[in-house]
Amino acid sequence: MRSAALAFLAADGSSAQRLPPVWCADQLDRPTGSEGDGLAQRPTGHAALDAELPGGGWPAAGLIELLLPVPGCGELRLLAPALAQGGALLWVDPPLLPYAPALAALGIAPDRLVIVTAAKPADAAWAAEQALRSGALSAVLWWERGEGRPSTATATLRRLHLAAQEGRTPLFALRPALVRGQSSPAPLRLALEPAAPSRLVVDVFKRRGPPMAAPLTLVLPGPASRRARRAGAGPSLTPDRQDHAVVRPAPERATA
Amino acid sequence: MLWFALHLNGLPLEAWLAAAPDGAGWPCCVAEAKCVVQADAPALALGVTPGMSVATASSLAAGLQVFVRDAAREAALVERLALSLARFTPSVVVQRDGVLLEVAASLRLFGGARALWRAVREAAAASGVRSLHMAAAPTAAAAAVLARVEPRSPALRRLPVPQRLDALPLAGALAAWGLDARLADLLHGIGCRTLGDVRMLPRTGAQRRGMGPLLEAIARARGEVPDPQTWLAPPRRFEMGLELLHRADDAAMLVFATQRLVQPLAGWLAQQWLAAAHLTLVLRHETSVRHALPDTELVLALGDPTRDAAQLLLLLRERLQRTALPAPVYALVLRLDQAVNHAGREAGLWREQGGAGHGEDTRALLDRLAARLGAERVLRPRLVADHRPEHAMKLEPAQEGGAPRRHAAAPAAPRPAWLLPEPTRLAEEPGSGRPLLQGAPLARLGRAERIEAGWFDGLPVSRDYHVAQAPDQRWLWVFRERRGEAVHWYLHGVFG
Repeated sequence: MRSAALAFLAADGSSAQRLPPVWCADQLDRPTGSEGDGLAQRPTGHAALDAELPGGGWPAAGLIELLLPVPGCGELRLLAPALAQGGALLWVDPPLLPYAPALAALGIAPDRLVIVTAAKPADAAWAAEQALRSGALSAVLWWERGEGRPSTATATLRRLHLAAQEGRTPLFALRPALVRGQSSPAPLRLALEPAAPSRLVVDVFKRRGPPMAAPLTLVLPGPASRRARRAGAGPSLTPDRQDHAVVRPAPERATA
Repeated sequence: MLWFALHLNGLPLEAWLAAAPDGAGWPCCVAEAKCVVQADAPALALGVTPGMSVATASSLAAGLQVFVRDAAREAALVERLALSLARFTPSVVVQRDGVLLEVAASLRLFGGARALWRAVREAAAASGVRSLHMAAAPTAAAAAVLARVEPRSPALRRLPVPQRLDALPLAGALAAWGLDARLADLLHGIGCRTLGDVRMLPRTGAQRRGMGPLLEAIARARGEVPDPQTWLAPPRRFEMGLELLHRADDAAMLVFATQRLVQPLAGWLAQQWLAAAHLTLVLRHETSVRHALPDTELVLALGDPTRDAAQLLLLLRERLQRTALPAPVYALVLRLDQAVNHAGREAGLWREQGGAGHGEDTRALLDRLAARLGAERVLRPRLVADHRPEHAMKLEPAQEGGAPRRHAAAPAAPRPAWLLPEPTRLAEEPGSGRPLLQGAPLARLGRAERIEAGWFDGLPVSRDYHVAQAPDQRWLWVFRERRGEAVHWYLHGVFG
């Protein structure tokens, strides 16, 4: 009995070096999937943002909070590179109608996308949890309802986070910027702010690592960067193809 | 051959209590011809014993509920059990108070006799059979008589079946085979206590003294003479009802009762190699002359046809939980409207992309979401070849979609990721006519895209679309309507 205990202690002592390195708060966490074991992180498609995120990309499982001042400020263009690859996507309670032709242009094929609109916030959370637990999807996007006061309880967020870890699916929670002051179980929280022109200021204000020195400014591909696009290939503001009778450029006028 | 015999020793009572979650809640018994046939545990504790007259039993146990023995209910319970077990083997025999399964061909699929034994027990419990005696033997008659007569003892189980048969008490075996009980007295008088003793008697003499049927039954049990069985012929269409013990007015009770019907359905589907695609659960309401209420019908259409009892029950539970009942329910009917051929579940050879591989099918998830939220709330976008932006996409229930469709050509000009459900009229700056959003003028970028279409279906549009920059740095999609006298600006989308 005693010898067994000693042997156990000896084994324990020798294995201390082989433990996975413990994250120290003054350095950026470099997990191979902080909770999911050996899960590859998903590159965000923006090198500057990858450098600021623990593991160099979006976590492959768990809750990720994106705080938006107003819906439609560039969040889809930010997420599109990560969402473009993989399997089915579930969008719970989007604030407006996701427009499939534009999403197809962003690389999200419409038949990969399932949109759930819920009558009650509780139903939306339920749908997100079911989707996460099933593990059948490659990502879930969940928009928090409530323009006036966001009312999702911390317990709900924690539950969603656990479901996301269990199903090994990332959950992007798109929440209003008002909740920045509230605590949240999400290990990664970002605040987005649109800036002129076609730039998005991203502040990773919670992460496994030291606080960011200054918010990051990303240049998103968008309608504004058409001069750059016109040089290369790609859609631009003015229709390139004028082969159709009904879609044609408007005649130039002085002012409308 | 290997036979499993299931004997429902509590059949008269369980036929009444099958749809009640945990007994009736008070002492109850089943009576036939004013005599107690069977009593439940609370009644037995109060001193009610089988064979007692109903009047005596009622005086012993206050509030005793007496059910009249109902052969139709008993037959229905045995049939439900037999159909539930049909998923384990196609060879099922229905008896008056039990079920026989021929399982020799199923052993490998279900992981051996021991695993199959446990699975059969669990399936029986799920179909509402709580007290059950099971036995396994190489012949049907031996298994049946062992399940009914043999005392429960693990030591006996280890003996070979012929020895176990020889050790059976004579009176019990005669009752199980439905033979004359007076024979037992006669044999008892000459010192025969067990079936083994009877076998030792001189055969011709025993035959002459009226023991022919008994000897024949023993020979059948020992496999010495053929014993043909009538297999269960499943009904062509599945429609099964269940009457509740109490009026049910909450979803939990209905879900419990539904489980009793889903189990036979799963067995029926498995036996026919089918999967349920369209189900109807009919809730019969209590009606009176003044209040005639039509039945509530819950229709369940499955995007991913399945015969998995757990999945079906889950979907029905979600439907029941979001249904408001107009009145208490006294009976349920589960009807299968449409089934598709289904040759079992294919296991993926490789882990699926995206999820971590342990996940279920996406379509099963969509079925679940649609069952609770409604099919009109679980949608999938589809591209339509139309130049009008609001017609270039259609949302349709996600369960129906499945086959990839031919995609419409992507428009050459940029499109916003978010579309407003209806274009919003924008105010205009008085002098220049520029559009205003929240009091600030929008800066238009680039040239306009003119869209004129819809003359063919009576919804014509003629618009000049612009990308505009809002004061809060968002990109908006605005258009100027060119039809009509006045020219107005509208907001139609937001670039996400």
